[in-house]
Amino acid sequence: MLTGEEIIKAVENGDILIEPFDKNNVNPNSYNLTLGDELLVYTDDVLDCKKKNETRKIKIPDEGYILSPNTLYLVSTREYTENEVYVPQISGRSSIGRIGLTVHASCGCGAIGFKGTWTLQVSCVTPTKIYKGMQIGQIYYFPLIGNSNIRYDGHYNNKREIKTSMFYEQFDK
Amino acid sequence: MLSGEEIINQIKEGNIVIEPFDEKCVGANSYYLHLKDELVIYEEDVLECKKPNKTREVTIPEEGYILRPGELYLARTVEYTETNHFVPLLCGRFSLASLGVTIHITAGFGDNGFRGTWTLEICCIKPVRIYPNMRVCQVCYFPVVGSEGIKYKGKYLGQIDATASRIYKDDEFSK
Repeated sequence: MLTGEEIIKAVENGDILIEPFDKNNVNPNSYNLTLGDELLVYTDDVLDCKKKNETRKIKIPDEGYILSPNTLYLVSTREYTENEVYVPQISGRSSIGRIGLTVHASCGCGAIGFKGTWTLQVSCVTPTKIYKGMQIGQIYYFPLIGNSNIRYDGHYNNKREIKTSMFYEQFDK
Repeated sequence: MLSGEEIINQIKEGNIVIEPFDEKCVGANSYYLHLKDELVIYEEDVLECKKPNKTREVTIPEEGYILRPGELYLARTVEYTETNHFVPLLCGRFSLASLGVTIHITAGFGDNGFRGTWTLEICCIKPVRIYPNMRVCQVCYFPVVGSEGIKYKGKYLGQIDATASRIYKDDEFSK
């Protein structure tokens, strides 16, 4: 896994793109990501992997927004990243975990070739107030072993907005 | 972490086994695994670490099955895998995670030497309809660092069915 200093070097030589990039957000072996301004919440009572599930948008006001338990909130990071050389992985920050916030429902492992902001899957254990721009997650980088001609070029690439599930695009193929 | 092409190389070398294997399921740095059509659900009101807990089986029909929040579903991958000289990491997919579905509760790291299908621990935030044989997760591989004298010989070695917890067999409990 790359150290913080190695992340800075990789940003400087173009192997990693994080926009905006702020050296104050570099950790010993990760980089802190910040929360965007909006949330998406699914509105259907029952979600379906085969269908496009409807959502509604919530703007996070300056004074913060209280998340409720048993609800899934999709949010974007402010940071746009390109991951051509190292395998990215995201996780919640320890400070976020300690107030019962989960920021991803998968293991957070990304793919070589992924370009975009990161859509986080946020849920909470107790009602919790969050703020736009707060440092919510971290991105880590693993070196890749082997040739990398197979690259991620899926439905979620090159998007800056919050990404809802496009699982339905992958059926019947 | 191994690239997709390196996963293919290691399968050819015999260090990694994924059965059935389909090159279309090779990702940039992972391999996609599919959901078998069987779920195992605990039937006890209170689960007990010291003894086996009663379960029932549900078959996921072609038209799908609705998972409910507050329930734990054990499921399994269609694929049988063997991993030697690498550490497998089981990961949920964004397409499923962004519907609020988690497929494992622990970190998802497996053991060098593990063989079997993968038992998934599925939970959801909202009711959600899932389908048999859908791409449910992916497996990534890390190189091991150091000698490999200690290999996985645990209580789930060779598992094929979705396997309920056998923590009751731990030394602390079985004495």
